[in-house]
Amino acid sequence: MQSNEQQQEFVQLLNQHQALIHKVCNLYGHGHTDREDLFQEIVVQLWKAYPKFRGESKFSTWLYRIALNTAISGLRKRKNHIASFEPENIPTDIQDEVYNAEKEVQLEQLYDAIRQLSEIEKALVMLYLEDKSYDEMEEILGINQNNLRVKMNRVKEKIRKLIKSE
Amino acid sequence: MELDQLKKIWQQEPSATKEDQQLLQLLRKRSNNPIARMKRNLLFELIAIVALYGATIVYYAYAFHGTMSEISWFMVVIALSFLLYYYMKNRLLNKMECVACQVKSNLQRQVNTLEKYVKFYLIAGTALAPITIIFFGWLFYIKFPAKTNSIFYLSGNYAWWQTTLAWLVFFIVFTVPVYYVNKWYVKRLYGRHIQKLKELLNEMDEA
Repeated sequence: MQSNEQQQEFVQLLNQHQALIHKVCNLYGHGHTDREDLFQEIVVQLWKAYPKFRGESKFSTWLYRIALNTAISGLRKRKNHIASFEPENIPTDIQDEVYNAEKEVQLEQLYDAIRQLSEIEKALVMLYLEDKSYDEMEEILGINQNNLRVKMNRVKEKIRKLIKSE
Repeated sequence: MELDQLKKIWQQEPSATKEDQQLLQLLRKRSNNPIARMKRNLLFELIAIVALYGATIVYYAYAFHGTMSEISWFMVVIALSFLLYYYMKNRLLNKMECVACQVKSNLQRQVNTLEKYVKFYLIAGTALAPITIIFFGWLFYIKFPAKTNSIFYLSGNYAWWQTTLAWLVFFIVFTVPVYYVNKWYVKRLYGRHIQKLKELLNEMDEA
């Protein structure tokens, strides 16, 4: 059992990276309840692993590993429908003019396209969209960089086609 | 729409956030991932075995004026073997996951350990059939010596090879179906999960 101080410290770190966990849940969850369950599971796994986090890698790298491991190998039951991005989940106070309706539509298209990819491809696209370097991708996924580059070109092409076809 | 533009939109995406209090509540929840569920199932199994075996051991120790206490001792030996079996299964489950490892090595570790786990389950479950047959054969021999002139006992009525053959057939008839039932059961429990993990690994490996 960790102390209250550790809990506060952990929650603070979590707050800084919450958006990242939500993105993983949006990509891997099938519907609102499943996304909530996945969010909970990722937080539980992070909290369990936190005492062993020694800062050898960046906190975000460590968090990506746990979030993706939980989402990929958790193997929740896949529903047949493809859930679409739900802009109504965004709190109204942060839906400002910068983030307008047109962008919402484009983001919705992107999410719909990514959801048609395999679990591994989703992880690749997410890391690409988050602007991670190949070094970091290798550190998170464990796939060598040559292989990563080949896969990345292929998956980017796939995403382009999927978006065009929508 | 270019991917680079989408990347910017993605990075600017506002996200629903949870309050500190909600996050603190989540820290108290238990894990629901497949390995955590397997650990919980193992614990329930252990409790059920201890209760069931405990009751049977006590019953046979005192029932029939203690004349069938050998069954109690046999159950004690089997129960102790079960404890060892649960200890080993639990150890495998603890090794099965490394959530903070690279995704590929975590998948590899899960596949390897899960395959060992299934193999162990299959061997232990199947071994129980011949062990039980041997015990009850021996029990019958010592409790009803007058009736042991059957082919299953060396009594002078049958040649040694006939007795050996009879036991062999008996073992095969009981053990082979147990093996296949166990195999079907473990495949039903873990087969799809292992297959899915292997597919993910193959996908990561292929260029």
